[in-house]
Amino acid sequence: MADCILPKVALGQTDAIDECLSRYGGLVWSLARRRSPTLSDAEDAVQEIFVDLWRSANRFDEAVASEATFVAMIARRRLVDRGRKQQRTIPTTPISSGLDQAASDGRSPMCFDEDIDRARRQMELLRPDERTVLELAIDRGLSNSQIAEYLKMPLGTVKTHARRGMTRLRELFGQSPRQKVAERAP
Amino acid sequence: MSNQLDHKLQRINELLAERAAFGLSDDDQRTLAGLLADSPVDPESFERTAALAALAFHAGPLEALPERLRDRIAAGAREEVGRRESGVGSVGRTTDNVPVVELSSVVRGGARYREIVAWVVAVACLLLAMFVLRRERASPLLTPVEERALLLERAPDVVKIPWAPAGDPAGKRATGDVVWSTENQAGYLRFKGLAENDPKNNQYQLWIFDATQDKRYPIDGGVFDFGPASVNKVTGDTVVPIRAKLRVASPQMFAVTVEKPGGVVVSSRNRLALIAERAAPGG
Repeated sequence: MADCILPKVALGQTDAIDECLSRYGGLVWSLARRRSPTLSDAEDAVQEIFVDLWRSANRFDEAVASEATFVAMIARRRLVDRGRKQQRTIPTTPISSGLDQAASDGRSPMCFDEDIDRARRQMELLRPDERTVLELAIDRGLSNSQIAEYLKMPLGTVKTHARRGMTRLRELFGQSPRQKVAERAP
Repeated sequence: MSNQLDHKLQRINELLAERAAFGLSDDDQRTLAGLLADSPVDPESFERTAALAALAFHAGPLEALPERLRDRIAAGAREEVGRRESGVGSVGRTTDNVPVVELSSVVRGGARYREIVAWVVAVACLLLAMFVLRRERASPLLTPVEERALLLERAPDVVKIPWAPAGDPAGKRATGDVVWSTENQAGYLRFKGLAENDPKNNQYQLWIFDATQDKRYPIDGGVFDFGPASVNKVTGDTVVPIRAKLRVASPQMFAVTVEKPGGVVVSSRNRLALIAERAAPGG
């Protein structure tokens, strides 16, 4: 397992930035592309996410979550926020000026592959309705009302499936609902 | 008292779960912030759960961060970290995802004030840079016809698929094609002969069927109108930019349906006007 890089970023080590981008650039870019309507929107989102990450690096605690999960959490938070704002505006489709070739093949030789495999197995333990709702919400980025329309399900049922599914997943993933005492210290 | 606490805890968990899955409205966000005060609940446990689920749902290998974008991010980061090292500012510990609230709550003394001013200046510079970059990328002077031509000329992965009538009278006489570039996440619909629609009664809506997605859930490609006003006077065509709501990974078929004004989230597909289907490999 690779050493964590975020503590070095938090300490202001500039050489840690390149390492961080090498490790998590593909992860953040892939998540942004999945949730962004256009390429330029994905680029803007990725820049915002990394600004968030530099500022949040000192909050990373490997006892609470893996580094990849922490990075994905910061990324999702920004993407969900952008998605909500975009739902209130008319989307635009600017043509891209084209991007340079990829910096690498995008495959991630990282420690988080193991986490993901385990999470996939655990997600199979969800009820089918719960899994479908969460997949549409988390992977496809649909709102609860859009999912209700997709699945022809009452909105309340969609919310219930989402809440139960999230609670079950939290248990399966071993994410404690209690805040660590140290985290709450002023 | 215990019941009240249980109810409060339950409500917090509901809102946290909903925030992680869908995001919250501004009202719910404020409600949650109020409930979380002095609560022992970890506000990020559901977000970590959703983050790990997002990684698990992600099929296939990760895409590489484009080199130019990576360089841009790295340059900005070095500047920010360098500023932090020089003592101009430091990163505060946050407890939630509302940094503006956090800033206003930590104003203590002159040093803190200078720190905040530095952050405000940094954020303003960042926003300005992003605004300039966005302006550079956009091409407001090009018409959709010209943008389509540019995409055909420049995108190596571009595909062009002809429309075929799909049964509804609206598409019976229509011709044209779809061009799409997955790399650019951009594409255009070109039509001639499509029936004129009255936007007050109905609109056309594009659907994109992606090979990596469940066929029941095609991607919404946006709504559009067809009429004299949309026809390009030079070419006689109507060209409509595709506005995919989600990333399109491997488009297999494009379909145009007639829907109520504003479009729908799920089409009944009762009025299927046109389809454009990619030929199978080797076919």
